[in-house]
Amino acid sequence: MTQHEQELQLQAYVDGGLTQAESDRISRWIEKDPGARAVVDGLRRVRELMEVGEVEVSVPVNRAFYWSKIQEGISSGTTSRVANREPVRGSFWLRILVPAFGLAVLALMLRLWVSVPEEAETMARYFHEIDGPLAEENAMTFHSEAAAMTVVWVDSRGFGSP
Amino acid sequence: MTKRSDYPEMSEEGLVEASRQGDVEAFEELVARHRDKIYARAYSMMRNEDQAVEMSQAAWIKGWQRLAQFSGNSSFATWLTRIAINLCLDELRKQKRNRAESIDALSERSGGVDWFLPTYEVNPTERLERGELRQRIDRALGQLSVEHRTVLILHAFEELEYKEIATRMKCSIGTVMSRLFYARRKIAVLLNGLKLEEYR
Repeated sequence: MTQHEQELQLQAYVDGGLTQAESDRISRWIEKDPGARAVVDGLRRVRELMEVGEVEVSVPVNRAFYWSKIQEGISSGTTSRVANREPVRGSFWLRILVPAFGLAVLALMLRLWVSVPEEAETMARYFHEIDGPLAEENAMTFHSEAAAMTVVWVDSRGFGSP
Repeated sequence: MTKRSDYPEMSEEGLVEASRQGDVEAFEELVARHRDKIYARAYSMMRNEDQAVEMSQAAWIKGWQRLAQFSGNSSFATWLTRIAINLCLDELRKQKRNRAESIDALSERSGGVDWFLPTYEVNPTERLERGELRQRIDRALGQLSVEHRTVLILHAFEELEYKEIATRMKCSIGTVMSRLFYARRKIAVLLNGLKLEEYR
């Protein structure tokens, strides 16, 4: 056993951390060994000194200021505790449904975007020159669905004729 | 419903129970009653006022969050002090990682140093004398390394056993015993007003 190991045994003896048999053995040892006795006495006196206690210190800030930070921490902690206590139910389905909903929205937007030219085309179909059966008669037909009318213009002289 | 003016008259158990039910004002009264004690422990470990205020406040917040775990086996103040100690130990570990700490060669050298013992005669009825002695002990504690001071505080003031100190400090029981021994020897030397250099 090294010297330091012996010192630690003596300390355990002073602190009451040994079995009765070990304690008896140390008692016999310190009776014979003045060096061991000095270590034990030293340890005991430091123990007694420490029992005098600690310096009395007070919080160096006023009560309201000290409490305010605690209150702030409690408030934010309470919020998170509530969130933890009630976990989001059906999160499995949400993980599937949320992207699906996103895709649906995207598809709808695409559909709207695509439908705009279609509508324009439809409108164009309503507002355009129609080559009617009188074409060879130099006639032009204009049809408007919105105005619910058809105008046929016939030029007996023929287009392009002088 | 409890009126604010009633809290100072309430028992500690009553305040703890009310706090458990979410009564923040009851908890504020607990803080008012024990804040100095919690701060004092934090200060003794951190040796810095700002850090001690911060650590003690963090302990109160954690205490509030863990009120359901308070079994009542110890007093509320003791329970909260343990929380403060753990927070301080965590913080000290963080700080240690950020600094290159040199081990005090003398304090951890075995043998060769006699026990120069203080010879104070303490009269418990004389508050001033006791206060002065406490001041000297505190100054001596301030000269110990963080590890030695922490072990000594936990053993001498918190009355924790070697095993519990080892658990809290995340080290072996042998390390705790060794640190405690060197801490005591250094305290003995410091309180005798001796310069360490004389005993190298």
